[in-house]
Amino acid sequence: MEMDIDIKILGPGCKKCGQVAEMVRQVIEEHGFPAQIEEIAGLDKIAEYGVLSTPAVVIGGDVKCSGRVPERHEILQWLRKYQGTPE
Amino acid sequence: MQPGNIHNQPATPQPAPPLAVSRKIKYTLAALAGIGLWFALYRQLHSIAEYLTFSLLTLEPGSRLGEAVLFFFYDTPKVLMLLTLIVYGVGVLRSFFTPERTRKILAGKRESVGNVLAAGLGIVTPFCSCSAVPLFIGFVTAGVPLGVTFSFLISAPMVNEVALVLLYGLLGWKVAALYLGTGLVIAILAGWTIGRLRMERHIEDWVREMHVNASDIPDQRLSWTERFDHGKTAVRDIVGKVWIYVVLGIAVGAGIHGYVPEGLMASIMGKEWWAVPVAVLVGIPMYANAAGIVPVVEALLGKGAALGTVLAFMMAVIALSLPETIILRKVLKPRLIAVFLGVVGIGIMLVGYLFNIII
Repeated sequence: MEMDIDIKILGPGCKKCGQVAEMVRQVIEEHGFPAQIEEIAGLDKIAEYGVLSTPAVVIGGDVKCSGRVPERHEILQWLRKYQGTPE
Repeated sequence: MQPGNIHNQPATPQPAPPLAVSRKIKYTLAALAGIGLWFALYRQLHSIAEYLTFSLLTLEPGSRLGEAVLFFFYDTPKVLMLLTLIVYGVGVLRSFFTPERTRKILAGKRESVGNVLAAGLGIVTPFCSCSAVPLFIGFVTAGVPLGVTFSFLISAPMVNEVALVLLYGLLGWKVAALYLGTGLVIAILAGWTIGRLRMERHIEDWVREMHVNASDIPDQRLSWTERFDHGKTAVRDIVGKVWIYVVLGIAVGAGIHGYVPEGLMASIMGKEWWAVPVAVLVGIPMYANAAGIVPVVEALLGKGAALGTVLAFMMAVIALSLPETIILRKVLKPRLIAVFLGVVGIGIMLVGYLFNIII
């Protein structure tokens, strides 16, 4: 059975973090990825991932980007790569 | 398999793909034209402001309202134009620096060298105050000494390009250079002092007990187009957020410029021994945008306030803020926070006294 992709958005709640979460949601819906998004705002949990600046996107336990708002095509690329489908 | 072309010798050397070259040329020409236009417009600003105030609105030169309005019409576009240009440039510059790279550079450095590096990197590394805590934890757990981390955390918000641009635009390059220089010196010395005080025990326990996965965050290789995009985004984000404060600040400054009598400021923000500490103490709990406060600073200076007192006030407002202190309380025990505020506050006061004396 296919497992949902585990996506975490790290950020204490500034505007950019919300933007990133929204963007990821849209990409997932548009392309039908099975995924669970969790928004993490607790600073202690955020620091555990070793990121130095927020917002940060973590897919399947790997930090994909931090400190900026990624482009849609990047998000798509990461998701496809994670699934193993051709980019 | 296709019959290969490898035996064909091209008669002439292959030209570069025409699209790429002409595109680069177009971009370069556009950039040069843009800069040229910017300069041409910039030099006309005062005449334009005079026209708007005295001809269009027919105000009296020398009258209070006239002078205030002239100040406003001249400074607003001037500052906004400068801001756009510099924020763009710094945005591109910042694309070369990431907090992760800075951390790598600073980890394990000796204190004195580290403090200087950290203060310098604080200027060019992108830093958002909401990231202060993850950044602090990340630095400290990666082996960046506490004092060096503080040098970074002091210089990053204080020596910011918006403040520098505004100071340059409204008060000239000397004041801007002074702010830059003293800001760096305070960051270096305060960080070094805090490091010497060996206050590592005063970091919150959960931070020291934390297990951090030193994650391998992919280091971006950015193309020049992406770097320029970075600049554009920076302008949209920063100028977009800040322009209203600039305009408001200039309006307040214009009011002071036109209506506050000369010399009034000398009595409130003058060179008396108590003026500097009071200015710093008043400034610490205040948090204002650099963009909004510099025009006010300019007007205050224009009305006779002492440079040292005003600089100290400005630094206290920008560098030490209640919101930031509250955020840092998550990772620092109260004593360390007090030491941080105290050391930086004293540093700022010393700068204030210094300038009151020598200027």
